[in-house]
Amino acid sequence: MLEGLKDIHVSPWSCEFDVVDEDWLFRLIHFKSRKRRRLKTPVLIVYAYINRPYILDLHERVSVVRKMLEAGLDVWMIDWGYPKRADRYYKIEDYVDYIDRCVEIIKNEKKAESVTLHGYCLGATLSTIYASLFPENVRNLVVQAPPINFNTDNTLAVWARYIDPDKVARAMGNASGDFLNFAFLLVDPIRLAVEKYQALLDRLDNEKFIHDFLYMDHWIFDSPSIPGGVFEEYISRWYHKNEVIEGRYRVFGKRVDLKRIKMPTLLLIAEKDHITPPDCAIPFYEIIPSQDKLMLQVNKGHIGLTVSSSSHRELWDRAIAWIVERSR
Amino acid sequence: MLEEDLVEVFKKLPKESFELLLRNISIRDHMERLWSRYSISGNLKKDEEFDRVFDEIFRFFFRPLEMFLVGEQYIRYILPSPDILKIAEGQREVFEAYEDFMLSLVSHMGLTAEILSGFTVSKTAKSLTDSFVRKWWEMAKVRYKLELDGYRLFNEYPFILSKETSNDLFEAANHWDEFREAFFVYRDMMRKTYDESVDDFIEMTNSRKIESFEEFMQEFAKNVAEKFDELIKSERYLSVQKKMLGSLMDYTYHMRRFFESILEQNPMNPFATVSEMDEAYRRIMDLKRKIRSLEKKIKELEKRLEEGG
Repeated sequence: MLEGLKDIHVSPWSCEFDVVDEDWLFRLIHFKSRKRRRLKTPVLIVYAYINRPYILDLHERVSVVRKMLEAGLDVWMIDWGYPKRADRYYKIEDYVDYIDRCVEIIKNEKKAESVTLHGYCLGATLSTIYASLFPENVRNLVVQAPPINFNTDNTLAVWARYIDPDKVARAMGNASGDFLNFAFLLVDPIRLAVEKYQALLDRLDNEKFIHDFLYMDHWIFDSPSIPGGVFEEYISRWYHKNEVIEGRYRVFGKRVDLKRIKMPTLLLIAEKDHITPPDCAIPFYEIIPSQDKLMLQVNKGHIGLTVSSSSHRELWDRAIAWIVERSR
Repeated sequence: MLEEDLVEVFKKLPKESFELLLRNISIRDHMERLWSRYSISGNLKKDEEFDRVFDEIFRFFFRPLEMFLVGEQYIRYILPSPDILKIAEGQREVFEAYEDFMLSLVSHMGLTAEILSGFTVSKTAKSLTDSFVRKWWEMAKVRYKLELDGYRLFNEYPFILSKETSNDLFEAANHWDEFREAFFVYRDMMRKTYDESVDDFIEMTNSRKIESFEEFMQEFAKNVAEKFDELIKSERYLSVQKKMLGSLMDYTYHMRRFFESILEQNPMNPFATVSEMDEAYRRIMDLKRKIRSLEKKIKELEKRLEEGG
């Protein structure tokens, strides 16, 4: 019955890259391109600190990174690594600081004045914070499924408001990958633990389906821990107090002011996103004073936005064209 | 499927996927049995197949929590019950008999060394052997005596431990109790919701004809999923989940602190505890930030110098 599963070798990261910088936990990677990089503004992808960034380069058929490289973009990415007990005292500020360090490295190496900052999920929150603090370094801001307004009624947000994050950090040090997986499955136990696997059992003769399923499940359960300090801060200050959208969040002693997001901004959202539903992003889109802003959406979920063939057809060509136009 | 093939699949898949997959194969078996009865009689009854489906779905979620419940046994091992102490006292005669045996063994070793020394061992080696046997016996005597009396120390635990250590144990016990109570409420709530969804499903299947197994399966999953959608956002569920998670975390913390503080107060303990390592990590992290800030300042200065400022 399960014979088809053993023949597929899961090997994410379809594009080659060099590791340009390492800072204990974090690293900056630079994708190699076969094409000449004709566009002068590099793209720095900032993924969330939950799960792994290779979702944007999961396999050749659905790789957003590959698409960007083929469009002539110079693509860089931050990998937040696998936090250990020793990393429990990291703060969100350290993540924002590493974005700054990467931006400086890229600017120096490419003789660029600024970058296109592309954030995904919580990486989009970090990117937005960075763009509001250092707007001069961000030529374009791309935010994909960004949680900026945390006061939404999706189950995950409701649950987050009922968690004592300090108790979790005190007991476990970090919010472990197993703990996070458990929570992510339990928000929808029947669809995620039953229907999904029943669908696989129905299609065991479909090689493409099995291939995509295994790659996705590999990614879903490849869950790094969240450092305890970051977990405490993001649950209490973002989910409980909603400080980012309300303009009360401070980093390096400076207030994060979304009114400073005046650079061209592209918002990518998924209508069926149960992790960061459109309500997380639309108030942000409305509040920012950018004169050059665009919102693209697909009828998909949080991850389908990146890896579904229809998103690649309907959204990514347009999104990348938007970035290319503003990278000359 | 052959067992070796299954092992290959296990190697390929994340452990969670593998477990969920096996559980779903079993769920399908139970559902197929229900479908077979329904397709013959046109009628569905609540029976043990539905119980098994529940187990297959929710064992995955209950197991990690149950592991913490079982973890309470640590406390029992550390604080032996009066029964165990009585058994230990009852072993006194055995210990004494063992002591006699050891004494004979020492005599045997001494005599054997004496005999052999005449042939093979030098005077120096003989005195070394004698000395070793004597020292060993002195140590063994003390050791067996201690082991016998050591059990009495368990009765004096509250006076041996520091105040902080005892308090952590009391806290852990209280939070474990809260956790246990919340967990059973939580489990019952899940079970009740599932039962209600099964009742709805049975009512629906008995009021209209379902044509295929696929439809049967889809309707079942849809029914259960919708019931759980309601449950997991209800005020009651949220407060039970919060209590369960909070008390679990408090229990974990105080239990760890209990073990740690025993170690921390023992001057012979050669290991740093997690909390002591955490303190070191915190200081290192603070230093890292200071260095980063200095690096930035140096860069700014260099920039200003380059610009001739």
